[in-house]
Amino acid sequence: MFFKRVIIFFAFVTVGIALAYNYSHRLRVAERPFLEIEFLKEVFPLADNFSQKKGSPPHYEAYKDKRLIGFCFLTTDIAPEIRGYGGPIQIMVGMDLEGKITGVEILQHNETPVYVQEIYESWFTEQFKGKDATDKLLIGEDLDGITQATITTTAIAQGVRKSVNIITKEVLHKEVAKAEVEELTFWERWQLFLLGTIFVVALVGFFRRKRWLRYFVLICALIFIGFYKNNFLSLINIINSLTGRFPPLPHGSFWYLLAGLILVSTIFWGRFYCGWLCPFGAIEEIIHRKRYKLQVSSLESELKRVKYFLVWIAIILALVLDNVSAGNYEPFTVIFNQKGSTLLVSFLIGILFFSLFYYRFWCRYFCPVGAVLGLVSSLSIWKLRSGENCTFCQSCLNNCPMQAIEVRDKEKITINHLECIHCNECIGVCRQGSLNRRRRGV
Amino acid sequence: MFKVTKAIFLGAFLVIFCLIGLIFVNNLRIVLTRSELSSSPVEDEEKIQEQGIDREMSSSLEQKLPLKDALLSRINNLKEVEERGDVLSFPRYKAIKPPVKEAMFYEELPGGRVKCKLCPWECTIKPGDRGICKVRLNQDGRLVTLCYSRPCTIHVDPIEKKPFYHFLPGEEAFSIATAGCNLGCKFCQNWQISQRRPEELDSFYIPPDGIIRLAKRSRSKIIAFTYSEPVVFYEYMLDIAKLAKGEGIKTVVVTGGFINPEPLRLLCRYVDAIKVDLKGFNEKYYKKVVLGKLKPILEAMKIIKEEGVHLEIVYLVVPILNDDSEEIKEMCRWIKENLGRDIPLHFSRFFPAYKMKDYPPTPLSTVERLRKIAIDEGLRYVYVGNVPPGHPGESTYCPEDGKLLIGRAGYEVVVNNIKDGRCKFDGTPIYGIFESSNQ
Repeated sequence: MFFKRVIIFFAFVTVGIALAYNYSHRLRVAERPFLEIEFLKEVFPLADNFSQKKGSPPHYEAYKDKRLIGFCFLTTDIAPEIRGYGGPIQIMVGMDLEGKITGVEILQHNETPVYVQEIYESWFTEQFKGKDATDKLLIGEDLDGITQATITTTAIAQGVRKSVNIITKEVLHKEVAKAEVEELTFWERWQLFLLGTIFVVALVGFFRRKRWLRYFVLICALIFIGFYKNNFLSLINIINSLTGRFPPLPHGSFWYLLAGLILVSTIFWGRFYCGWLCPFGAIEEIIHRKRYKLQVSSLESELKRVKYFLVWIAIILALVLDNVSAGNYEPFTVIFNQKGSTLLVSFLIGILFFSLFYYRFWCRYFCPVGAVLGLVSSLSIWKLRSGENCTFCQSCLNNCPMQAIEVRDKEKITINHLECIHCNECIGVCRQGSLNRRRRGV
Repeated sequence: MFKVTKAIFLGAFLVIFCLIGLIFVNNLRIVLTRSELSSSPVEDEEKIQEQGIDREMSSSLEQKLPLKDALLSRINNLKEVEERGDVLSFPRYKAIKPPVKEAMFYEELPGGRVKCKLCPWECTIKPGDRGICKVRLNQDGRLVTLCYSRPCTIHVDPIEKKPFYHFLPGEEAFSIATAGCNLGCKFCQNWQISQRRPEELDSFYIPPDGIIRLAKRSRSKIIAFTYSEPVVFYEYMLDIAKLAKGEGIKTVVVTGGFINPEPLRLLCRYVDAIKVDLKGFNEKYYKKVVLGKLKPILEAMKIIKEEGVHLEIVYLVVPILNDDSEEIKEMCRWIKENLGRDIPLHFSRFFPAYKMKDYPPTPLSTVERLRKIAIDEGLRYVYVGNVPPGHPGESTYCPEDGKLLIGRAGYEVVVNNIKDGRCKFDGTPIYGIFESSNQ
């Protein structure tokens, strides 16, 4: 017991140290001009010489044959408030004397790697060329977006639009139209509503203890949150939240709503998200066949701890290297975005194959989100507890698909709150009605 | 029984655990190499802050970003042509948006769908969709080509660069390309244009007669359709070739050979030479690496031979994947039986590009070995390509007495001992076209 406490203490302290290191490292990096000059030429290929950064707002001057032909500037210098999924995206923009954009390049970002890869590989940044402050520069109007990377592309367009407007006004002294206020579209509002509805339906099923409603909600979540929105909780979000990089409003409001609901439900009851809303969990449950079910009870509780170890490694790596992709070992993006390396695809196939035999194979032993939510759920208020009238028949223990129920002190049923996903199977089989969600000591 | 299930479970667990370990290692590799790329030495930074960036400096900085250098070279390429001033007299395609041209070789299907019959894929295309080549679009039940009069790359190269070694050696070829390709080679050297849609690239609007005018002004005797895949801009190529024939300009096609017999026969009536990139002699390789099929290409080569058009074959040797001696022997026998011993065969070295940056460049010894095999099999003109200039395998030798006929160093012709299509020494006829007919 003492040993266990030491390990937990050590883990939290190291994460704290890594976090402190991460913040100080970022402050140090922010002080020196990083990479910028290398990109000048790329956004302004016609120029042969560039000045140093100067003026207000800060910009570079581009020269050809000692004649001024345009300007280059960073969106983060001019419009630092515009953010993508993981904080500001540094973009270099080149602009000629008429105010036309000559090139756009992404320098630094903390977005989910696959989305940015998509942007690098596509023509997205090429679209800006030749446009100026009189153009709308809106995704869906005069720019083509990239599906599944809405927040990132919107942030890029927003950053370019705003900085081009400001430079045109301040440096070229031209009149520009007023920047429009970003608003959610009608369909985006509906999506928020839909998410709320799914959550409410899940709550109804949760309290009414309806098994079919759980499957219904899981399938809805799989289609809507997983395949359609691609906007579920992943380790990348958790790490970005730790380092203070939050998605922007209003386009990130879907994520904020989801994260808020998850946080509240976890603090109230525990890993409710895992059992009722997680799209990957839904896939695993669909694949799992009771007929082929295999279960091993020894070693179970030891192996479950592996996920805490993995998430610890992932968080430390991501914080120390200040790069979210360093700790990213989830198969979610592979299945919901249908892209990834051979290694990740074989990994995904392996997991799905084993979840045919083992219920929620990934969730139980490896899932980093589950691990983090499990840790949060140890603080939760209404935990599942067995009462006084328990006859110790052990039917709950035998029917728990997550194997989260243990016998302690010979004659006491204990539920491992870190592993319980609130599927309500145990409550259904308890003949005494002894299992209930209640506060400590009530 | 219990022990068996336990062992299986532990096995499954370990497999996933090891995979996670691998993923971590892989992530670290990617993250660390990227940060290596992005951090520039401090001295450089200071120097730049003192002087600003001059041209040499920025070009040396470009070299540090290998992922971008290919893209930059394309931009520089366009610039170079721009500086010549000729092409600039033509407008940008995007600026004028000319009407699209209807495609040839297609069939209308019920429901507004069409079936393109240009290449062996024979895509069935829904309204609003494109074929696999990304340039042929079903516009309301009508197949149109999006790259007619829309070249994205224009350059004047020596014909040896294509490579044609038996076709007007030493001449310059006015080379054009548009976006798109019907194959998807993972080693593509021109993927920036071949794997893109036409509208993603900066391109000019130059109708066929404009190309003829430009080619004449550059004093090239040859127009080459090359870089990406000319089959996908078939209509444009055909119209240029028709005009060129009237003007006495030769036309050559550099292609993967993935085309249906009917369009190919029509094309053969107008062009003078075709170079087929035979990427391998193995259906599996074609399926996995080239994303195409081998059989139609072999058929196409037979047709080219049958139609009497000058043919050369290039075989890009990728280490491990397609450098098997037995396979090469089989290929040489096939060429001998179906096309004849005279067809020139080039073994070209591969250099890492596109999706195969993780493969090493082909060793020089490999192409030398394959050349020897092909010569032993009885082929008369076998060359090696992408080798250090001056390599003996670049030059042409008389098949009878082995004397040097055309000595090459890189793309330069140093010696030319061919007269009237024959060896100057013993009069052996040499396969190919060595003098332009209407001088």
